Amino acid sequence: MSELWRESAVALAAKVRAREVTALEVSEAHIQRTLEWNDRLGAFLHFEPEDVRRQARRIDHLIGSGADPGVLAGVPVGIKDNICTKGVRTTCASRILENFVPPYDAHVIERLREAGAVLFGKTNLDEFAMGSSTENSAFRPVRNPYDLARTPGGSSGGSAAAVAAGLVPLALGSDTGGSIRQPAALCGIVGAKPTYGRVSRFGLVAFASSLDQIGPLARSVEDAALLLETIAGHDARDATSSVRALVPLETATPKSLRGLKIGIPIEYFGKGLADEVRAAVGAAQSTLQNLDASVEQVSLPLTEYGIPVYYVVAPSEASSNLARYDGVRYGMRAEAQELKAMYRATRGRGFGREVKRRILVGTFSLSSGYYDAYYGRAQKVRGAMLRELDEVFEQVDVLLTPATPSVAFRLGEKTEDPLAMYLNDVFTVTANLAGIPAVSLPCGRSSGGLPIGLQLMGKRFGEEELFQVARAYEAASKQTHVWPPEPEGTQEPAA
Amino acid sequence: MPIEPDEVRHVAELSRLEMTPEEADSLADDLQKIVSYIDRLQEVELGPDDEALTYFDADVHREDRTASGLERADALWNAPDADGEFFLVPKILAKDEE
Repeated sequence: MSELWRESAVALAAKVRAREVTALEVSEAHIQRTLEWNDRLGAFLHFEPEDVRRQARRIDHLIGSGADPGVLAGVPVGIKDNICTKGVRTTCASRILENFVPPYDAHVIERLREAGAVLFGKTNLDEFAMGSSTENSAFRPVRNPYDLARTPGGSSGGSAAAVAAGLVPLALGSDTGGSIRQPAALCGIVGAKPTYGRVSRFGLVAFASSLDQIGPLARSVEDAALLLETIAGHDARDATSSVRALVPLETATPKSLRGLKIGIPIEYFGKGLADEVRAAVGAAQSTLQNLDASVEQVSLPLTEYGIPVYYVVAPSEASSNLARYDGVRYGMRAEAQELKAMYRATRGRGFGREVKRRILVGTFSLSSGYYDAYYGRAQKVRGAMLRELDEVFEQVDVLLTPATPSVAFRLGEKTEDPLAMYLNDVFTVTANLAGIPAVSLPCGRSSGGLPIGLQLMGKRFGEEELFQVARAYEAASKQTHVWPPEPEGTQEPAA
Repeated sequence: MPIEPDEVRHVAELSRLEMTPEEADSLADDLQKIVSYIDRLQEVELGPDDEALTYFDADVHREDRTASGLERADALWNAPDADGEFFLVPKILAKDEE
């Protein structure tokens, strides 16, 4: 079997453009890999090999005719199933959208098509991106390729598992409170949440509109940069989309970080942090110091309120955004004699438990008599957190933290306790609340072989610096993606 | 703050969510736990100047212009019930509201 699935996106695009391999050969290798792994992982919800081949042949045809196929020529990309794809089902892993076929492409999908990417399939997620383990998918949970009894994280768990196991070299996720960075960390890959406004949200099914951002998952910083460059940029259809241009991220790897100031926020290293994670992030700090970066401790005292603020703001926005699922224009409808009963029945049967929980919390926070004490207060605390962070970014350029408090947990371990599940996002929500960019990348392994992730947070629109630090760390530490063990019974016999 | 079962039923009604009595009871427990947790926001000391801040680059304006939108057939494509021109819905007023 072709080993092209092991290659990076950058290498694949170069080979396809140089006619060393065809886009069809690239796709075929990933199709075979996916057929072998997907049942076990549950990473893809929709995957049509014939459609993938058709797209690949079109790229090959384009190349044959002498046209420029684009920077992602023939590169298969997994798409989180809350991103609209024209003519291809987009379910948000919810029963209520089980048969929804969007009549348009999201902005990021248009960009991928123009760049010559192959839209490989739709990846599994927590229903409406609400969750941290991908166990809230209405269809099936996703499993971690490094230990099938464990979660890949969430909510972009399908995208993370698919990239980590080589089903695709790249995938898109969405990040509202850590949904790209946390699964990237638990699957030992790179995941980035761009600055709010960097990537158009047009065609991303809305969860919490002031927090949602689409971003890349990849096996290297270079590949993540290539995908982010492809999707970033202004789009008039998203009023919060920024006109600031993204500085090209694919620059040489800096050999020294002299002059760079890295802040270590002490609140991220408290008692809930697993020892192995603490040690790995400590080693990352030393690596960066050896690159001549200066490191200083900083304090963000409001960090402990990040989760309470998030679990007011995000559900409030969700309760409003999800009001559109009413059984009238799209999605499922439960039959009833009159309209209000139809709304209640449709939503009661169409939404899963976590989605209902968040709609209730959000509606409560916004309801008359409670608004000031909950939603209003959360927004003020969010404002204070923003100010606190801005002050720290006057002292330092980048913040270094763990991405998650622990390595991947077991499936079922936290499903009965919503608060325990919410605390997975304790290190990631701040970047969403403040709109700043953040990257998680591999920084080691636990004694059990499970990936550990570190997080770098940058200044608003500071992706260039953030990616340079990530590149330098990746090169100096040699902490890169490791292939998961091959499933039993599929190994090639020894020669 | 304790949340009464009536409060949960009221919020569920506002949210247009049908639920069985068992589901309502167990979601009431969850809601109670979550609200007790987010109640920690009350302890944050805020100054008189603290207000909700945003970070949006929202001063992006353009001239009004007309552009084509979704075609009617495309807009109706996913509807659970439609007649080719309109979305169809069940009767809007229940008997006791007529």
